[in-house]
Amino acid sequence: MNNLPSYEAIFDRNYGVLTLEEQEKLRKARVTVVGVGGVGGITAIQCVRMGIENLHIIDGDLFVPSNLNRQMLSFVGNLGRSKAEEAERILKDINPRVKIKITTDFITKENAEDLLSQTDVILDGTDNLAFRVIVHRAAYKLGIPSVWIAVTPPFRGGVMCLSPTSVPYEKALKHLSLGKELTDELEKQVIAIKDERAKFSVSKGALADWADKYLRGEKAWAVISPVANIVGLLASFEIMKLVIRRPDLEPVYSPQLLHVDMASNPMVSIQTSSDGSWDYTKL
Amino acid sequence: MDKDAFYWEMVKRNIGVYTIEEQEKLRKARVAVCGLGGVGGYEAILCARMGIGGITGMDMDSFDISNINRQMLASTSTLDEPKALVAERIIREINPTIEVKTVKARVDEDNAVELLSGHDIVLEAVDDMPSRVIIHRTARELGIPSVGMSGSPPNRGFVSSFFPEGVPYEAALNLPCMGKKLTAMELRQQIADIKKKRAWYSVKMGAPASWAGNYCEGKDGWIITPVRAHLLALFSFHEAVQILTGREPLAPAPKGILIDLDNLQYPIRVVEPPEGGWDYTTL
Repeated sequence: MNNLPSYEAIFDRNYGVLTLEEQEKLRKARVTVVGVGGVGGITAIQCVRMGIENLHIIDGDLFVPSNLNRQMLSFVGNLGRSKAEEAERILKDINPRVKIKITTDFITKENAEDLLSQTDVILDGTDNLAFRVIVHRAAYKLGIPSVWIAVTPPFRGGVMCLSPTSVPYEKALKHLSLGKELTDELEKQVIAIKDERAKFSVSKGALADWADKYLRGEKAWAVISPVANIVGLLASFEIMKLVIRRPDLEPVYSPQLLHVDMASNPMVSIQTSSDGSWDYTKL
Repeated sequence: MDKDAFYWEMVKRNIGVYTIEEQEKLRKARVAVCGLGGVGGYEAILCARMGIGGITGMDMDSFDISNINRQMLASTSTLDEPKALVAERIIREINPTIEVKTVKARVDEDNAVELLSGHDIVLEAVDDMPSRVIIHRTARELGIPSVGMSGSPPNRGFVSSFFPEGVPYEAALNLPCMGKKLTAMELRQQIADIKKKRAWYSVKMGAPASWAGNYCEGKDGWIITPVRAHLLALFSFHEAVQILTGREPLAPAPKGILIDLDNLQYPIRVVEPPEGGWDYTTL
């Protein structure tokens, strides 16, 4: 392409909110997004639109029609295609200079440290709670900050940053797996937290019929576009904070929680926990 | 897959948060999106993903390089294309069953009634004050609810929902043009100048003073960061969905959703106006 727009022209309107030094930090930062679905997809788009030029996208999934209601990288024309490959194509259309590494596999205990080692910030955008433990354990071991997100019916969500010096993931979210080898049995117990979240969500206004069907394995997690997108946007703002490191703009580190509930007031709040941890079944 | 089967497959993850009956209401709804930039472009995408049945998008501009940092319909390959045309194409790529119409025009006194009639709700996403007044006033005359928004540096925003039988836009925001036609240049200028006062108030909230000076002299554009524009779109859209499904919106005027990402306790909350109503220069 001959008329490639300059970096400065694309990000001109960031100036004033961000300094040139901060913009340069974003340009050089390496961000890894694990899972480019409802939250990871919009977060990856936001990273590119803020001026991040190095991304690693990890996702073994393909797009299906029920992604269209909220996943910003999904279109009728790319159903059946790899989410990671489509992310690369769409992100490069936004800024052709962006360097994107893709991994079309899921994260596992075996590959996690290898896949996550060469990066500055990790977004955990997976929907499997065992994968999440693997991601945050690897990030902690590698000394890399990671961002946790949650999207919960009907209108709830959360964002939390973890670093080697903040409260570790499994402690902040009261996991039985804390300090133990992640065996198949423990993975099952971690995954079962999601069933409890489905049950609790009924008390917050999710349809009881949906929760029953979810527990029987007949329905997938219920999630609407505004909530998934708000969580992704807030996560991208945390990533920006982790990259620019402005002294008066602290990331929301564990055990603090950036809490979203569009059906309550405040709709977004930064909450602290008295005992330094959260009951994940209620998030 | 036939049209019905596609529709329900696409929106199936909404069910659980919303009922099938509520989803049917969204499918029958006709939404007007005024402006297809940082806020409206995202709203148009959200309408398509949520399963809204009909969208009319209006914008007279074409995409420019400096739109890429925040406008979800802008990318390197859509530069110089009319925003309305790109919006129509991308909406159809998300949901080919949607009834979409886009108009390359700015809503003004002489076309507002024609452009806005026949819709169930109006999403206002324009950046100049006279157009905002005309849009909300016309929606009210036509008996259509409207959702309004505004955003200011560094990371502040405001969203409110207006009903034909509720507090009018100009009354809620204490604008000096109540009941007057906006054809007189002097009045139009007076309304437009409110934005200059907002620029100086933004300096108190942390925006650079040199920018406000340049903005008032017409040398610089309004500072916009992606995350704030997108939160405005998401909260405005959520208001629209609540209204269309027959639920309660979060901020019927004069209440407002206040966004301030630099507020480290309540970044987003619903607020009652101060005594005497809102002072738009502070929003």
